[in-house]
Amino acid sequence: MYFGKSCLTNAAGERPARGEGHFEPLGVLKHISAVAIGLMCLNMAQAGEFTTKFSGYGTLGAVKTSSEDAELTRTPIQYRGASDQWDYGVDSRLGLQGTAAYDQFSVTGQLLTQRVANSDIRPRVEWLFANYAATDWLDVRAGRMVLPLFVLSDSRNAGFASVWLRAPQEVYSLYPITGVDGVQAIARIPVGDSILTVQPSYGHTHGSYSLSTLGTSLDLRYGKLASVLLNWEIGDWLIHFGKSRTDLETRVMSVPGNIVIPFGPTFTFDSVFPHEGQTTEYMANFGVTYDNGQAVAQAEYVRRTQDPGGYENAGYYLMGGWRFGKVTPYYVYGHYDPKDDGPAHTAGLITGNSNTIGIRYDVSKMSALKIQIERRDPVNLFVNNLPPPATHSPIEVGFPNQNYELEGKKINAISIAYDFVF
Amino acid sequence: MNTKYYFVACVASLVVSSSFGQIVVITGPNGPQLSQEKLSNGYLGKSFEFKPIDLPDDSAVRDNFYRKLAGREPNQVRSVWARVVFAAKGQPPMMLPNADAVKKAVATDPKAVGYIEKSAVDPTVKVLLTLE
Repeated sequence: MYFGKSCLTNAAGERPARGEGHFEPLGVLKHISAVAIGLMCLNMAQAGEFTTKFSGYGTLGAVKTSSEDAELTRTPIQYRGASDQWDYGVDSRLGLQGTAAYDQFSVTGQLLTQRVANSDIRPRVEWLFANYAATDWLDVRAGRMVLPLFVLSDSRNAGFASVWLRAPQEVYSLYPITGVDGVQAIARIPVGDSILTVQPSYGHTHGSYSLSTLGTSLDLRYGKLASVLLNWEIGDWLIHFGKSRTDLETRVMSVPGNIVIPFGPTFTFDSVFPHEGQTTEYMANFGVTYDNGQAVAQAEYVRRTQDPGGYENAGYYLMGGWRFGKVTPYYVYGHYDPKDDGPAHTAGLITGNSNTIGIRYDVSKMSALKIQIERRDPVNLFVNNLPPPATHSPIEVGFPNQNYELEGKKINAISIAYDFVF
Repeated sequence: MNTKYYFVACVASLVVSSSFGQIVVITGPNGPQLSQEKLSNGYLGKSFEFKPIDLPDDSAVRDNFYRKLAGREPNQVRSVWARVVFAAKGQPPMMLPNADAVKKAVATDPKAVGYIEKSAVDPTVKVLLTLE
């Protein structure tokens, strides 16, 4: 399906200039070329009842902010982000996907390479699952799959599929995990001319938040993870509900018994991470999208709570865009809101907003160029911040992705990205 | 009606400007009855009640079909399918080289649905919908 020369030539044409970042665009391009050529050969080999399909997506991106004190990341798993120097690793990524099918059975795998908690280029098996198409409307799956919580949780890495350059962090950064190891069913139930999709999942997974101020990461183990998604597609409308509960075990990785924080006191392991341990976490999510071919709008609200722990926060965004032929200007308002009297508030997590304007330009049927400018509060979205002042209590240090020097200040960012599918 | 005619029609369909000619959605004689909304759902990856068949990427008939059926430009159709494929929710329609191949496919598979130019219709297929 989506493959061909445009991947290679376009990717090469949009090669970002070499900057000071650690990301090596040339290395990735070689990787893309070799794999794409290999996939084309495999694609031609399909015959008979047994079929194979290969496809992929990628983004070459550059981003820069107005601040040297904090770094903008795309997901909380990234160990470093963009500051006042151009960064090429925040948005750049490559996904390769293959499906082998025989009658009603199929196996699908996706390999995703992007900047993560400890590396700029680390390929990870995002999905690998077996699917049984029981009927035209029912699929049953087992393996590592998408964890379908958000409106776009499943396809958000494929930048070409979205109008915006980057999924709004106020909602999408609340959860560092994107997959689940377990079982899942997808039922597509026709209701008149509309389609109601019900997608329950059960399993376990793990993820990590980068705590790069401390040179470590927070390891999150999700067990007994149960979720259900309802998508109701009525003409140009999509109404989305997502709900999940999971056991959550939090551990700090690779840290000695005491952590010495520069310019601050020495804390014990337990005092720095009081929220380490076991809890039950709940997510609830509601979203609406509208797309009539010309006008596009999307809104999504998510609420995350932990019990015990009292940790509670919520985020939402509103997005609107209009297609003028190949050019689509868009606007996104994002809002992040920790509960007022919970530990999140004690820890200094504060309410924050963001305003984003951008333009998507469809270069070809399979690629798009995007430019985006945003102005945001520096809350809970940045890593590699300045260490907190010694006057702050240990619980505040437990959320080191917070820059106390920047509180009350706005940060501007400009991003350029080239998205393609093949 | 002979093969040569179909060949000419097919080549013409690739060349002739998109605003000319009506496009019809076809099935085999025992094919399903589907509303425009359901056809749109199937061709945009929302449901898999039937097997949609596409013409090639560079076909003007294909581009026009999506404009008329669902009001979507070719790049938007790609975008929609990228969202489906990279959500592991399905694979895009099977692609056949020309109207002849589409007619053969729908005539032999009762679940298959295709689209061709109205001028290429013959008695082996049933017209579900005419897109102006």
